[in-house]
Amino acid sequence: MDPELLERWAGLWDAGLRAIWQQYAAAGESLREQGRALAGQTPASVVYTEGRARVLRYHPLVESPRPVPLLCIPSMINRYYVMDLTPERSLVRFLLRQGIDVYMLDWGTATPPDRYRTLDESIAGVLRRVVGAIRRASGQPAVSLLGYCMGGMMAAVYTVLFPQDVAALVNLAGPVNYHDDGIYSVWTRPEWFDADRLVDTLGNIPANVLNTTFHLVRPTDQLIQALNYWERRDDPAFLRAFAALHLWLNDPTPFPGEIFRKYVKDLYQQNQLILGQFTIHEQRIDLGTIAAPSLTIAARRDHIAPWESVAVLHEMIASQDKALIVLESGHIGMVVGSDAHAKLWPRLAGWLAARSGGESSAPPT
Amino acid sequence: MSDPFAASLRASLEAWERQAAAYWDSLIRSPDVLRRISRQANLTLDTTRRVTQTLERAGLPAPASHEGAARELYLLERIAHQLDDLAARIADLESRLDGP
Repeated sequence: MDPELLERWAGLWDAGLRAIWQQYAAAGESLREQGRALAGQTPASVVYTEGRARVLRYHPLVESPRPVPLLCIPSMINRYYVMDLTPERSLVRFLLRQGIDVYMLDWGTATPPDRYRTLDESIAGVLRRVVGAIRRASGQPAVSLLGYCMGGMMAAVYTVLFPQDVAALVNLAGPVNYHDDGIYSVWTRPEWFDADRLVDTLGNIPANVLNTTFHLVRPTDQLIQALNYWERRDDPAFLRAFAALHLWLNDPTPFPGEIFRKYVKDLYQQNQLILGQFTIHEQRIDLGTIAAPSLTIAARRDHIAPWESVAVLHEMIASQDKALIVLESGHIGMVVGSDAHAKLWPRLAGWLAARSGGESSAPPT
Repeated sequence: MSDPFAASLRASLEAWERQAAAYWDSLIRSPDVLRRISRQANLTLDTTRRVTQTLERAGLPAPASHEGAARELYLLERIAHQLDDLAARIADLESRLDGP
């Protein structure tokens, strides 16, 4: 490392950063406890369960919700409540206020038997049964899907397999091209990443292993977070969002082994999806056959799902009714950042409302 | 700490962090570094497997000793969910056929 960088580091540490870091580290558990009291609190009922997964139906915030339900599909790696982070910073609540009938798929926490769960079964089995349950509960023939990150890929693949089930598709930061200069594309190259060895040895990929790799992308960011906390630790409004996000960033879930194996080998290493070689239960997935109304949302400063790798879906699909939004934001900030309610939520809610039936949409409030 | 000091600290830290992050990024993308990490990780994984296999052969509790049961449990759960789904779809069909 550049000696000058080390010297500057020592100067910062002695000038006050040490005390700031110690205060932040000491506050960790109390921040997570505060986060637990805030995150995922929008009232909902569990309407379906399968294994560790459950489906929440959020209680409506309008008298007559629009008829077409929306199923939110989060990544399997992080918790679902990022879309319902706090009462003040909740994409779910915003959508409910626009009259959307919102459901959430919580994949749950993988246990040892889940190491055998496959990506094929998760999409063509679990997700299919979830959508079926929502169709029966709502009386609607089709459901809109909103997939975030890995959930976006799953929603797109589902739409290819079962187009009759899907009223509209929203891909929120879900890559469909996996060969780019994003860090995960680099780290998973077959020259140095042996997914088979990892899964055959560990089964489910442990949550702490995943959490460590997330933080290794930019470990120095923790110092900025410590300073942010120290500067605004007496600001209750700031602390609420900070604590909930701190919890989410440190609350990963084990990744089912066989799903990890296929996710890494077929997608990250072989890039099968964009090449038209990806299969689910031996059925080839051709993203070009997607004809449902589709909205693709990418973020220009997204280092997890580079924006071009997400936006390419917009070019590939056959939908006549399609739109692309590219935000000046990051992967997480686009959903829960302080300006997400201004940048993303109204556009997303307006697009969905116009395709969810019921009264014509009023401008999102 | 006074506000001007805090402002100065932030400016210095952010400048340092940007440079350190850029250095780190180049390091964690280096094929040489990634190969070395991979070799070490693979050694650790192989050792883990040998320990587990040794424990199994000795008849002692090991994570893999639950493998067979875990797989059977997963398959049974999957069958159960498929049957539940089938029952729900049949019930739905029956209610439609019976009419209002």
